Amino acid sequence: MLVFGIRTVFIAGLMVGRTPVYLGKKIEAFEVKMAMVAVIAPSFTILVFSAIACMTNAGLSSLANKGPHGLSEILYAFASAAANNGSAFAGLNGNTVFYNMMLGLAMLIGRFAIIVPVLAIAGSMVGKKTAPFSAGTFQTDNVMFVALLIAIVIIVGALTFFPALSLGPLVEHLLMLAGRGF
Amino acid sequence: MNMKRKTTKLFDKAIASRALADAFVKLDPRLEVKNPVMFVVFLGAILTSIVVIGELLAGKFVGFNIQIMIWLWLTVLFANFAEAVAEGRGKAQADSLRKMRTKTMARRLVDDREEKVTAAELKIDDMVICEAGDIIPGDGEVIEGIASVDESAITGESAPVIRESGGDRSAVTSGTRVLSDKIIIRITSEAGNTFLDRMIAMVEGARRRKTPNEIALSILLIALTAIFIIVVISLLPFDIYSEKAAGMLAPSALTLPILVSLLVCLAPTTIGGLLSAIGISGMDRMIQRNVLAVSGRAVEAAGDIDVLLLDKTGTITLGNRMATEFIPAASVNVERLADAAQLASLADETPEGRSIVVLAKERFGLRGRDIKELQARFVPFSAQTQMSGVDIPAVDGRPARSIRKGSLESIRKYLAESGATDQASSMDMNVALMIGTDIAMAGGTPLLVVENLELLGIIQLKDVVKGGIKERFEQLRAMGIRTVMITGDNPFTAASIAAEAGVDDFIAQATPETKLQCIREEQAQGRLVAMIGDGTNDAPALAQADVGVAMNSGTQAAREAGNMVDLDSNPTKLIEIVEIGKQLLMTRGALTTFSIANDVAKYFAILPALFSTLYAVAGGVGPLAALNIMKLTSPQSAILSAVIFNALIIIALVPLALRGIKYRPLGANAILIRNLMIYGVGGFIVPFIGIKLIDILIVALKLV
Repeated sequence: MLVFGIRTVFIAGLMVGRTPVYLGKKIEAFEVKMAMVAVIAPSFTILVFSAIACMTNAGLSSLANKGPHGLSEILYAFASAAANNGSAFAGLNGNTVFYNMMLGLAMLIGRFAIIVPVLAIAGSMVGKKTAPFSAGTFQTDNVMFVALLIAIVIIVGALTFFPALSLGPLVEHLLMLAGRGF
Repeated sequence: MNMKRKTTKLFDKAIASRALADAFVKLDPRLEVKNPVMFVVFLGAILTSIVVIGELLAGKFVGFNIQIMIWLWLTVLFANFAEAVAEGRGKAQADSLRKMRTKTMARRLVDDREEKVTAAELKIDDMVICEAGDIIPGDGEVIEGIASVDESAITGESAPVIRESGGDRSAVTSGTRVLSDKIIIRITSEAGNTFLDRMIAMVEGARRRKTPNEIALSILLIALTAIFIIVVISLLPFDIYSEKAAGMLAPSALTLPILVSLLVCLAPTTIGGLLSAIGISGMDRMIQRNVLAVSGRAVEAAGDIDVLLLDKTGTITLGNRMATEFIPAASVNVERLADAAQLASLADETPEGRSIVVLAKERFGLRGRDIKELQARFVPFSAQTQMSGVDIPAVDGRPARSIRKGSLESIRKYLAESGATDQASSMDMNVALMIGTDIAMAGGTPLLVVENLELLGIIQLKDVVKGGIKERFEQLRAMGIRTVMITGDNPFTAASIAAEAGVDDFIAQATPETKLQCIREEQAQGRLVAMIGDGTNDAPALAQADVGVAMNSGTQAAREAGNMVDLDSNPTKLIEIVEIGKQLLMTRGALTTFSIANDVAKYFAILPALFSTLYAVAGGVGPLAALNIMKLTSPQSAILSAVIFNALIIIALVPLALRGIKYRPLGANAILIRNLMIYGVGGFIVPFIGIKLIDILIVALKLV
């Protein structure tokens, strides 16, 4: 959330016509870089690992369900692991060498590829001068910012996962409405 | 060349045709790789071309892939064109500047003899003579004489300016022409490193480096592109899985051109293609306003300014304080005061001094007298004594006269130190203090005149606050910028003018040290400070400030210390500089938002097209066709429309990138809401309409 916050501050801050400032600290190249590492890492893990699972027999053999629901199961397992939750649909047999390895790796990346950059951001921000507040400063403590943050999370999140999800749960839903199952 | 009249049209014919050619030159991979987002598009275009060539060699003619290929190349070219147009405007200026830098001959002085050398041979500390009609061969300082100089080559201002030895108007610039009189110049910079050379390098963008914000934004754009590469690549296995699950036997619908199209549409190409054009045009806008910035970083910093330090004189007020009244002491005849004041001011070449001479002449018919005949010795104004005056020795039976004029403080000190504190004079001094305070409260400046330690009276000087300046300060306040007036005046005068002009704060009786101190204090609190100045004594403060704007009419030291030079020497320019800086950041932010918001519509165009046949019942469309909310004609028309829209939007936004989005002096939240509405919500809606229209058009033209 913090990294999305930094991204929001950066884009919105630019629109106000100032170097973006969050909590009185300037958001510069280093913070943006770290924030983006923390955003890319889980996206990469979820999408690429799911893709590997889809392409390999080891990944596909665990599926109890065919069709779009099978894809949903794989995506869910990796999304959950990357978010350090670690659950999976009942339809997916997670206790195989392949899934134990891949989900474990997803968990590691999902944890440390976020923690480390965020700590790096904190470290860099501590060393910066606090910029005083003025009427020209972009406020980060009002409804406006919250709405913007939600919009960015949804749009950027959606843009990342929409194609994959459309082949999984979305098409499943539409097929179900059409009365077809697998 | 006249910069004032240079093209304000966005698309000058010559520039556009040159930019068109440059757009192809920029296809050089070594140049493309500098812009990672467009480099991805560039690689995509190459990959698609390979596919198309392969098809053609195999004797297959796939019109759809060929069209995709054409539009991908156009996307790259459009982005190159945008950058070339922005650069072209600078290049055109550089060319005309270079023409001016002809092989000027210099008349170098060696041991009082003159010798002719080319300007390129001049070294630092060489002395050269320039007479009426000569072109000044190098940057330097006038060390002898006074001349009127035509600086229109540099500033575009046709009115000649005065350059004289000593004082704050001694700097001359190479390439300018002496119109009258004769001056001796000490060269201060070598050929190749003169102001003119730097100006050419500047407008050509030869030394253009990415600014901090530009780097941060580039990282964001690269990361977004990386995410979309992951999305597109991972989509292929998902699709193969789904097609298998759906029992489709035909090869995947996801051909390489289609995947590339998806990636190009999703990647932030709009902002990626226009980013460098925005930066270059920001610099260009500065130059159009006759401000020369040392770096893009300085332009950007201008947008972040929290505090503006403004010299009162010339910025807030019209500048020249004029004598408006002689107020004699009780026992003194007003003509005697005027006479003494005039004598003391004869050698005083400041506008104030001249106005005293003129006022005495107008009121009492007193003429300027021959200084030599009086054998007068002038006491010039010094920062220590804050006084100036004249000593006239006793000649031909006339008594010796020692006249001093200065501020209340300085004269009181002068009288006290001279021991002239008898009852009468201290009473006069008290009255003078009262009158002086009154004058100061009203925004004027009292100048006391004493002769032979006798207080004669007060000259009232007045300065007029510029019209409309109050409104500008209100705008600045709305922008969140605090204005601080700096003046050497006493606190009363300062307070009165500060109130009249509506500045937030003022510093009275400022010395160069207090200016520097003030800037350091503000910076210590984390604020960014801009300051404007012209004199050598401003140089430390100009160097310390985050944005230091030096006047072109100022001294060489000041011009070296600042990171911008205002060629018009107009102090109010600082406000415009701040606006340009803000505009630059806002344009980038707005186009980034626009670019990201665009993606939503592109998804709704491309995804249903890709998967429309997935899980389809024989003969019908698949369930994901429900996502085709734009009701685009066919999968192919949908993908092509999205790619065409993506390319055309770059061209459509070039004028916006060059001009910058409109800046209004409002608070941060008001600006944010406004820009979000236009570029966020607008960026969300526009592609839906645009893609639909292109779809209708290409179907009507039977392109797919």
